[in-house]
Amino acid sequence: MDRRITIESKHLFRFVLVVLLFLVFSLRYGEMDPPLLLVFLLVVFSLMLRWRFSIGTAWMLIDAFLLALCSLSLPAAMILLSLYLFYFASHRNLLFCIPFAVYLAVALQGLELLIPLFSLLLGALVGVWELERMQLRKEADDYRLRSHHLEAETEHLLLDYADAQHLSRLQEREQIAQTLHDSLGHELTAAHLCVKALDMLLEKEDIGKAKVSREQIEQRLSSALTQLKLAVRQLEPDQKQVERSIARLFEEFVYPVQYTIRGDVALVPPALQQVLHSAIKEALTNVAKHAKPTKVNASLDCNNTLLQLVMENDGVMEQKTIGTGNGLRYLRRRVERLGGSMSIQKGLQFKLLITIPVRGEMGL
Amino acid sequence: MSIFTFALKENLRQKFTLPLLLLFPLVLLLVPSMPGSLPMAFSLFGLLNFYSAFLLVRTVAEDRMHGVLVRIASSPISHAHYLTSHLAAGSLLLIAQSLVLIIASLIVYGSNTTNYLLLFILYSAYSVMTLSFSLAWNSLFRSYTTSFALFSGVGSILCLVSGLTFPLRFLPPAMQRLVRVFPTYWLAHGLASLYEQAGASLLLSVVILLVFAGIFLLVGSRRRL
Repeated sequence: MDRRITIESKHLFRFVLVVLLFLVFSLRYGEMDPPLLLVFLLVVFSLMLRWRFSIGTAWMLIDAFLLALCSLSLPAAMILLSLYLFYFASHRNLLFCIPFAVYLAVALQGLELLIPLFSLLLGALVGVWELERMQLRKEADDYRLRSHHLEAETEHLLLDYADAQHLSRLQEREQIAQTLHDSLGHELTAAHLCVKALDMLLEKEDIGKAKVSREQIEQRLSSALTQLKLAVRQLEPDQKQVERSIARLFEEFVYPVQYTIRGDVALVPPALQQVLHSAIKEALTNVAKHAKPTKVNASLDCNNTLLQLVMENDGVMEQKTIGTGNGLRYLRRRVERLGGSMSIQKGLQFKLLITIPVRGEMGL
Repeated sequence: MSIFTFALKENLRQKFTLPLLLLFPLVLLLVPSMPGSLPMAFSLFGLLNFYSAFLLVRTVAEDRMHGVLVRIASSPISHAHYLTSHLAAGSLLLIAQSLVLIIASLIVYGSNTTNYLLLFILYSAYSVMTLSFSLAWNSLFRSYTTSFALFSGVGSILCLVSGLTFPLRFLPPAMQRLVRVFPTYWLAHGLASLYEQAGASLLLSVVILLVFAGIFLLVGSRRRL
């Protein structure tokens, strides 16, 4: 698992607060009599209360005002207001800082003034950092949400695609049934009736008419055979069309592609042909987006059991992001859905290897 | 049975609880007193109370270490209720321990030695502080044994340098100022104020002890499953 150590702004906030507490304590160590120690402890308590519980920043104003009041009779405690300045500034409540900053500016002198100033600056820095982080987190959340929606969309599309496949198969069967009924059915029925008539004529020993009937049967059957051939020709898909469309993809690509197609793509079920087509398109888009190749090699092997596509290109450009993009990720999911696998080799050359088993009826 | 009663019974069931609460305070009275201060038993009681408090939060610490807190978290009992009940039971036992010492002192030293009511208030505040300190201390460790092993060293040193086991005036002046940051010091300070009959100073000690208790409670009350 990738475990990154990140420093959150709240960690910096706590660290700076502890440093400031220590600094203030060291400064006042010489004057740390019981009342001042009590005030110091109360300030620690007030800050820790906010660490443990989520209390609105405005409530801190009461604590700060009480401390300011207390500092009127115990001037040594005044420097502790710097901690509140830091708190308000880090919570981006600069307006709250103003009265206390003015009070400290008037009451403190010399180098001691640097502490509230330093606290204010550090607080503002932590506040800005926190704001920045919040915006980044929001953006990241938005992206995650969008990506989630996209994945859900893809999931739906894949399901719709499977449904469409099923529907088209049903329609196809219906069409075959209709064609057989329309063309072959009539001829075969007529031939059947002629055979019956022939039987009757032979029983009556009417040889002349029986000869006519036999000729009619021959004609009907011959016509049925012709109709069947015609229907089969009409129903049969264009076997070379898929291969031609794949070849066109390679040939029309912006960079020259050396490709080889072994085996008969037409033997592959239509759903697989479509995935193959999408895979080649996605792979080529990927090459165009992330590489400036001098050569692109593609090889496609089809047989009765396996379909394998290998694409290779050089001139890979340096990637800013780690991992695969959405297109390849979705492609991998589609391939895996068909029981196949997709592997990528990155280096000076980019190699994409897709293997899909060919099953007659497809497992969609 | 309420959690408070359960915690009380659990604490009393521990082997050392009863001797620590009832017997050891009486043994302290045998320690000879030093001139110019209250009897040594009063300050040594701080050490005894400190260790007793540590023993009493053992149930809370072990509940966390054995995963009982996870089961409690899934029940309709809030963590605040669970913790408050345990702390109330612990405080009650520690306050009872103070009462044992005070009543025995009344018999041994007589009623003129000091103001026992103020001493009781001081001890009560100290008991709450030691209990909270123990809770916070235990929240830093995963094993009670490790926690106790370190505490026995740190606790002894704290009590030693805070003027509970010997008078603070024997320490170098620089150390005397430094030990003010230790919570245990404020019992010694309170006892000294009590001896000098300085009411304001005693009140300050009590308040500081309570503020320390508050800070430790904030650290120790975090729910760590």
